[in-house]
Amino acid sequence: MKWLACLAIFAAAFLANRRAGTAPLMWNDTFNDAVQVARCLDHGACSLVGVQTSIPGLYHAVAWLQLRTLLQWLGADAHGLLLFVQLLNALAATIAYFVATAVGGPIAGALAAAILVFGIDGLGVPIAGLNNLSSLLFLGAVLTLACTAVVMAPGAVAVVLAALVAAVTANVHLICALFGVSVVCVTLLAPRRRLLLAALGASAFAAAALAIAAPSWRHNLLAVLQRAPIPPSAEAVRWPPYPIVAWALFGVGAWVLAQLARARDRHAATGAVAVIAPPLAALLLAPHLGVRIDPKYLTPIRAACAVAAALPIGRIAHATLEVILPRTAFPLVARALPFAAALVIAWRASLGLAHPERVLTVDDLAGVAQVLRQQGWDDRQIARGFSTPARMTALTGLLQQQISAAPSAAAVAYDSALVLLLATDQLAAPLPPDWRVLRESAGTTVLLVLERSPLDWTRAAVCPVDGSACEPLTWDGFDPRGEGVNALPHMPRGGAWGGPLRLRVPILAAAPNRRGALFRPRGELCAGRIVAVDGVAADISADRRRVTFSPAGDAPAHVDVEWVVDSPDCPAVSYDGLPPFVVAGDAATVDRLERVLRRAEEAAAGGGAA
Amino acid sequence: MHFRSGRLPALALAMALLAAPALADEPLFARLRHGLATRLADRCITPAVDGVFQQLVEDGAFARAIGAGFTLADGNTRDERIQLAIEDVAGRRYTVALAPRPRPGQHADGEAGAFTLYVDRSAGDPPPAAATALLAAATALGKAIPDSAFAPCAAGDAGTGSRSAALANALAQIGVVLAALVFGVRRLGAGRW
Repeated sequence: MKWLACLAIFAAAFLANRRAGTAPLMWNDTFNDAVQVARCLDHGACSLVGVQTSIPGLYHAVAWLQLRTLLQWLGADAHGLLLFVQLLNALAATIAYFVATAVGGPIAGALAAAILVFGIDGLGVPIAGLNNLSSLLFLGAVLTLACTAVVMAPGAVAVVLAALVAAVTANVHLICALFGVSVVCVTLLAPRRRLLLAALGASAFAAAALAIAAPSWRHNLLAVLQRAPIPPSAEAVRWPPYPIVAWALFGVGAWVLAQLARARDRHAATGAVAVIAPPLAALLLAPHLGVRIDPKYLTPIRAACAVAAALPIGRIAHATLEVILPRTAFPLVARALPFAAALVIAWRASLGLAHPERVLTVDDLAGVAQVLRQQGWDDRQIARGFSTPARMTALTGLLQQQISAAPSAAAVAYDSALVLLLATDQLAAPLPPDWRVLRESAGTTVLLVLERSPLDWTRAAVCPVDGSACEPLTWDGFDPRGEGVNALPHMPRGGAWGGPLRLRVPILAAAPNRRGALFRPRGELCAGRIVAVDGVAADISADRRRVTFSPAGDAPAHVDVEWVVDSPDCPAVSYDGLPPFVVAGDAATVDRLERVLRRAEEAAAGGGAA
Repeated sequence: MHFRSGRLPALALAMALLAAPALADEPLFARLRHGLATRLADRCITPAVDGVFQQLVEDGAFARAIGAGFTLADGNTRDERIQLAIEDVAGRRYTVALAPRPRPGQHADGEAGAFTLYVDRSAGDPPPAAATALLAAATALGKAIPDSAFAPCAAGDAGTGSRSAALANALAQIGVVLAALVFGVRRLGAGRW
């Protein structure tokens, strides 16, 4: 029965994971990792240092890249990698259930699984995303299991195994270096042979971490030694309002009370608390040291938090049920609870359903690549003519698609391809022939709109707002797959730059009856305003978000659009070094898209107000 | 990746300093930190090397070291090593590299100051006279470059490893996690089920 319950929790958690997405989301980290792995597999040049952390100059170690390399060497594609990660996540829920059950009984076990799935959100880590955070839920769960084993039966083997798991986890993500402290803590909290085991654990952790990824640790040590002291953060110091912090504090607090009361089972949560304490302390202390810690860094302690919080609640629930239930019914209810938890997880758990509805997936990009290759587009044309919000990331993923479809005989000379995620119910059928539906799921449609653009982006120029000379954009040689490419030449770097950005885009000559238009949407985008149109008759809307212009003749004509990067209308993270997203095309096409996009904005504003 | 034995105590001390960031920013500890970084980091050559090279050319030191029959053809700094080239009267060119760090697994042709010397044999072994002249020129330059022409390398590219090493590493890590998983399940399996 006990293993059947484990199986039920595993199956339920796996189902919930699959419901959250079966194709990896479009994510910069995923594509950057893919480049590194391809270099390793194809050219035997495997990086000895992992990807850069969000702290400049510090790098993760290579364990995640090596795992990805192994899986891809075995034949896994992006879908296979996601499936593997989802299996690990399901195992994490099972391990949390198993540990809590082993030390606190089945009620605590069921609660641990439920808290992990329902009580702690994803901390901003997309469940269908692939990067080095993807395996941390599982590794944190294994470390919780290993540390609990140290407490239950202290011994050299248990300590060394816990230290090795901590080292592997630290080599996946830099924040997990704190798990070295966890191993020392758990040995010091063990019932006997504390100092000897602590020394053994620390030595095993350091030796294993260095043996796996010495260059990374040496690199980081040097970077820290060479960097200037970090000034204290100007941000007000406050406890982050994340549910995981509440669960963690509750679990640790209950454990402290159990120690003070010298409760009989006071060691039950020690392993989990040892895993929680160092990263939690870092999160709470970091603002004092001038470092802002993202909640996603707490991903590896999610399982430990669930276990630590479930144990005291489980004890109370156990005592309560014993009182209110007939003596014969209690064991049945206790044994049935894990299965009930599994049923609820399988049917109700929402592990990030919203993500595929807001972000393109790798499958969407493959669909775009298929259509564009059929149109005869090469890499150069894709880099110039494809556009979507988060264009740099999408382009990187799109150009990584190894699709070589033969050009269709019926191909039309399109030069612009827009990809949009729209609410399905706002797209009135029938769609124009140039609009292709790439995906329809959960009320969202991924739409590819092929167009002949009225604008010539290849001759666009960056124009300083002070009126000084414009500098033409350069598309030649631009390839977003290159290392460190974060802007089109002559455009400010994407990601952290802020300031006014004005682009002058020539209007192309067109057939006399073809009116062009440009509309710039709002939302999670870098939104700007249409400043002026010269050389052609034009009608700019009152909110300066849309312009309709007559066909240009022989005289030069252009439209000026301006964005203020790092402002409320255009957060710095939404600017990626490429011309921000606009909908440009034939006036009729833009009209129709504008109506849909404005309705979506109104719906979002209404939802926000509610 | 290799650690010199003298680096290990420095590594331990550096880690202790990292554990106390407030202390580490004190002037005394900041100096100590800089010293540790200098010891831990590989030494990289700086543009000051160019000045030494020019001085030796102007002083005629290369001409004296090389001797008759050869002329200095080129000297440049590239990829963290200095490269010197000489030519014989027939215009054949011979090259030697001065590397600030030994190259594992590669035969060294000598040492000069802080450098290890490697004669370029990609086009075959140079004649003994050319090799002698090359090493003489390299020795003259290597010995003339002072310590002040070096600086700790920035925390930059750590290089690459082989595919088999990466795959073996991944397998080893999976093995560790699986072992811990099985061990933990067996230990806790005897608990309150």
